[in-house]
This record gives sequence, structure tokens and C-alpha cells, in this order.
Amino acid sequence: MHPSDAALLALVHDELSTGESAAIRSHLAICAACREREAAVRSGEAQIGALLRLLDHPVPVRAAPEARASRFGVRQAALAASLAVFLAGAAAAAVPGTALNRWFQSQLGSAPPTAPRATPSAPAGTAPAQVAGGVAIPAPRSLVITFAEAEAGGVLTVRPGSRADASLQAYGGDVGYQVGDGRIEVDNRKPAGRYTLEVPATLSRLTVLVDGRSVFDSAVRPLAAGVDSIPLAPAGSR
Amino acid sequence: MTLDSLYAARAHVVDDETPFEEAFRACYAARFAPLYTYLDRLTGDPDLAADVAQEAFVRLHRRGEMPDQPAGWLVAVANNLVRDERRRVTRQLRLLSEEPARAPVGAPPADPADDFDRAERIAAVRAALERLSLRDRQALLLRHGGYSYREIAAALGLAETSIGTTLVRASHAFRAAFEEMHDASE
Repeated sequence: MHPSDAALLALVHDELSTGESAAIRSHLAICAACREREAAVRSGEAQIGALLRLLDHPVPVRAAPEARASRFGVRQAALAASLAVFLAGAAAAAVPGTALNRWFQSQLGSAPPTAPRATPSAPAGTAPAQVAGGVAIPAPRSLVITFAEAEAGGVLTVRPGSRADASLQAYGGDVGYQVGDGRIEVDNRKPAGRYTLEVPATLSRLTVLVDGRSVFDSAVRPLAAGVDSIPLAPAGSR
Repeated sequence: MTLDSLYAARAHVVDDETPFEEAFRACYAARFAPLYTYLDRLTGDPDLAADVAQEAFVRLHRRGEMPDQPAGWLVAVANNLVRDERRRVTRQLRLLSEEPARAPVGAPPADPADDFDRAERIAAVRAALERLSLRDRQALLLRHGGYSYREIAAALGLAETSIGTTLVRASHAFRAAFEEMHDASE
């Protein structure tokens, strides 16, 4: 029996049980028409995915809400206070003059907010005129930082931070960021040259990739005590 | 010296977490970005999306225990927050204009001229999404945001068995509407 559209879609979405998907696959092996349908569903899904990604803006990074005080009292902060944005200073990720840019600028506090709704403000000290753009992710256990391209003379400086976040700052350039679970992707096609990463106490592994190539892995070479520097130079130039 | 030993002195602060807090923290790390991306696509308003995503987590934290389906629970809360926000904005606009107003739906940004094609495509995607019923739009965006059928069912209050047909309908409707919008703009 030919599978329904919903069954083919579920197959493409990997939402079928092993038995169901085996049954459909064995039908596809003998039915060219259904193979074509399956291919059409697959490419249709890919097209929709690509169109929807056009709508995306970089994920802003905000501190996780937390209310409980530790026995050391360092987390006594009220819930509201913990909601302050650690600035996703991805102003650099935005095209000047776009709505996105204005949004980031309003987050930075260096432009009047255009929305009537109150926006959380950046912590003091992050909005000087020559601000370093950056992102933070809350309390990662392991962290992978990916630079899109090598930078001759570019350096990533790693040092212990005082916050639970891991935060990455770029000084100069026009750098974009995407962040995810334990992952920061740096679009450095307009390179900054100098980056600083502050890592939290809870981090157990740090990996740095440049143009798909691993340039640092704390499982292979532990970080130097204090401050460590990782070159972002092209392969073979060191 | 490893990172572990470098920070051993401070590690106990995190070990001190209750099971809920540990689960919450892991959930936040894993689920904030997908929730934000879903809301950003749904509303066309990154600022609103970030606020709503954050507020959904605040409510989860206040709840004090993890729901059975945390991802679906967060989306359900966030969908309600978006609906309430839209109503509030619509009400404000009515007060201002006397006329029945339509809530702003996140008009596409006016991109520079060299981004014209891209801006047009974005406008067509957004217009196509607006043509779907709210439920189909939500289901489509959740699926393309990496949510499982089970999570989508929990988020939208639907039977898991109905998600497949909902997605088939939503995908067809979206593609047809996009092609129409895109052709109309050329």
C-alpha cells in the first residue's frame, strides 16, 4: 500500500517507529512513484527550512533566571535583577541601518529605543562609544567556539571570568555571532583580530575551531594558568 | 593545569544546586535558543521574542518543578504571552485611533538596496505565514525549529497522532502561499 503524505513526512522527520519506517522503506524500494514523492517531500522541507531561516535574528543571550541564594550569599540577587541582559553585543552582527541594527543599538543604550515597550538595559560599563561587541552563554559545561575564517595575526585570549557565563568579546572588525547550547559561532569574515574569552569555573572542556580545523582542545593541551593565548592563524602559517 | 583544577575552589557553588535547579539550568541552556527562534519567526519581532522567551523561563522557575514536557510547556506559556501582548497592543492602538486597528505584525525591515531581493523574499515568507491559520503556523514553525511531534502536541494541546496531517496541510499551504506572494512581487 502506498504510504500517505503524512507518513512520508513523518519518515523525513524521523518520527516513525523502527517498524513503521522499515515498512515504508521496503515499499519505497519497489515503488518509483513513492520514491519520487519522498524526494519531493524531502526537498520541500529543505526549501521551507531555508525560507524560514531568512527570518532569523541572532539569538540574544540572557542570564538564566535564578532566585535561590547559595549558602555563600552570592546569588542573593532578586529575580528581576537577574533578568538584566548580559549584552548580546552582537551589534556587530547587524547591518547598519536595519531594524536589527536599531534593535541592538537600543539594547546597547546608545540609541533611543524605538519600541514603546521597555527593553532590559545592558549592565553599566558595556556601552562606551567604542564598545567591544560580544556574546555570552550561561554556565556551559563544555564550550566549542567556531571561527568562520582564519585570521593572520588574530589571537583569542582566554582567561578565567568572575561570572557563571562564558563570554566572548571582539575588539574591532564587524563580527557576527550565533550561539547555541555550549557553542558560539563567530562570523569573522570582517575580522576583529583580537578576541577575549572569559570562561566560568564550571567549564570542563574548551574547543576552538578555525575554518573547520581544531586549533585548541583543552582535552589535548590544558589551558595555561591565568591567561592563555590561542592564535587564529591560517593552517601552515605557524 | 586544567580548567577544573583552576576553578576547583569555586566548583562547590554549582554542586550546591537542588535537582530542580540543575534541571532548570540544563533546560535553559538547551531550550532558550529554540524557543527564541520559534518566537522570533512567529512574531517577526526579535525584541518581543526575547522578552517572551525569558518570561516563559521565569514562569517555569517560579513553578518550582519541571513539567513532563518542558519544551512543549514553555511553548504553550510563550504562545499565551504572545497572544496577551498582541491583545494589549491592539487595545492600545484602538484607544489611539478610534478605528479597529490591526496589531503590528513585524513588518520586514527596510534593508539597503543591495539586499532588495532578500528583503522581498523575507516579506513573501512573512506574508505566506500570515495566510496560515495560527495553529498551522505554530505547528510549522515548531517543526522547523526542531521540535518533535510529541513536543508540538504538548505545546498546542493537540493529539500527537494529528500532528502529521497538520504539518502536511501547513507545509502545502505555506508553499502555495509563498509561491503566490513571490510571483506577485515579480
